[in-house]
Amino acid sequence: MPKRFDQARPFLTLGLVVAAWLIVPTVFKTFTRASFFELTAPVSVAASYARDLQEYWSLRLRSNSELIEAGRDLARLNASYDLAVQQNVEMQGEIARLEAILRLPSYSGYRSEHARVVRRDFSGWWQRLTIRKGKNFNFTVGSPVVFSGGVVGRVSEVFAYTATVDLISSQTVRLAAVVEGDIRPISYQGGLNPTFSSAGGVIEFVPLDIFASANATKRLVTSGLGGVFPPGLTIGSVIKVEPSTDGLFKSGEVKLDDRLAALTEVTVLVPLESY
Amino acid sequence: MTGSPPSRKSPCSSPSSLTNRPAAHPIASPVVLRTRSPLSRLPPLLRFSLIFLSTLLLWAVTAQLNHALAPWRLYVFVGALAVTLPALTFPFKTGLLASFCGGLLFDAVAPVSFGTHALLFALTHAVVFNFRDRVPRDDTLSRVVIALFANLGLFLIFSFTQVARSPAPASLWPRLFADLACSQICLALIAPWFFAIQARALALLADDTHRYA
Repeated sequence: MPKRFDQARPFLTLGLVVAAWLIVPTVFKTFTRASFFELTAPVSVAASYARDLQEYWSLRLRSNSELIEAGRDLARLNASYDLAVQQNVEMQGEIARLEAILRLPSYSGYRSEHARVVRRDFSGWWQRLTIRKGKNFNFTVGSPVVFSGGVVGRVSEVFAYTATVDLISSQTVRLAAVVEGDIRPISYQGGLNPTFSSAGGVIEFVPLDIFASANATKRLVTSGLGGVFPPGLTIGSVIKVEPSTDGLFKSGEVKLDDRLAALTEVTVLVPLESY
Repeated sequence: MTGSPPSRKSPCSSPSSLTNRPAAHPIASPVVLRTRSPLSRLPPLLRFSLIFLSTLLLWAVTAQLNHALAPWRLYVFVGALAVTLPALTFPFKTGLLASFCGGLLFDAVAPVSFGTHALLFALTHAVVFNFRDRVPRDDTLSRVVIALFANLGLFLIFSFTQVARSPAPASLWPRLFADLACSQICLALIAPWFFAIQARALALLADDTHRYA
């Protein structure tokens, strides 16, 4: 065999592999992907349980007086939450009465499901979380994920016992938002993730009469349009807006909550229809 | 001292002994023709399985590292480690299969088209395999240097495939360069350990520890 051809043989084989991979049916690829993911899932889940155990033993080292103080603070917090729940029930009843009188379509409901974070995967290319619940809790793709600071992201893939969440700082997440107190929708997209700094996103189609700067930020919340996220959830703070090139709108930057990078537990809002 | 000292190169670490290919210069390494490498005695499926399991271990370690680094917004990518040893020591087809399946493992946990990592790993494997006879590859330092170059290429090519999705591509590159620097440092630190694990695992099953340790 000529030497020149012998040197090219690896690349010829590689070409055949590429060609074969391109014609492999999508069903096979989907099945293989799920299989490989489930192969890695126990590793991540076991590591997360080990971290929980580590945290448990570190908490066991706390003194009794610290626990008493924490219990007292928690009791006060629970009392205020009880009051908020009562007010919430009353307002829900008011909304139901108004919907019945005005014959309005009702808002879709959600079931809150808490889940521990198994793995954080924050690269420059994507920002994802893996959580410790999946099909076993009837999670669906696209379900919103929230925490006490607002929106975390949305469920992008659901597996048997785990699910993957695309973080709001990921460039793959785009949603309709509004500036608090305004009703005109704005397009938000994640994707600004500088090293050693807060994550962020960009906004487009901002009305010309909206102003914000680093010293005078505006709160950006979900609009409720699109039916995925309930309205009014905090996305972040608008820290910069400037006229876009077309002159019809403005574009700007949003600073996201710093706690997003260190989440250990999130809440998935599972639509009630899927339950 | 007039003559040069005899070569101390291990017969198992020469290119031809690991791949069962005829040596380019048989006179320079006559031992190769008389002995059969322990690695070559391993069934290809076993060799593939060992490399795949070591890739799974590599992925698990880097996943935990990235989990810990997430609050600082740093990321480590050391995919080239999964390719280097199979490309430098295995027969082409066995090594290609191991690299390809290692890539599928990385693909399964990433939001990219399934097969992206696998095809890039396969390409890297083919490139490294093609020039492995022309570079020193028997000592750990050489392998680390080859892995560093392979990781650099993989990282940059993968970045170019992903950067178009960003709403602000220009602002993405400083982050990517920081990640690349972090990845290269981590790779240089863990590569000797990882290569040693792979070599020990292969040697254990080949029942010839002295030649691969």
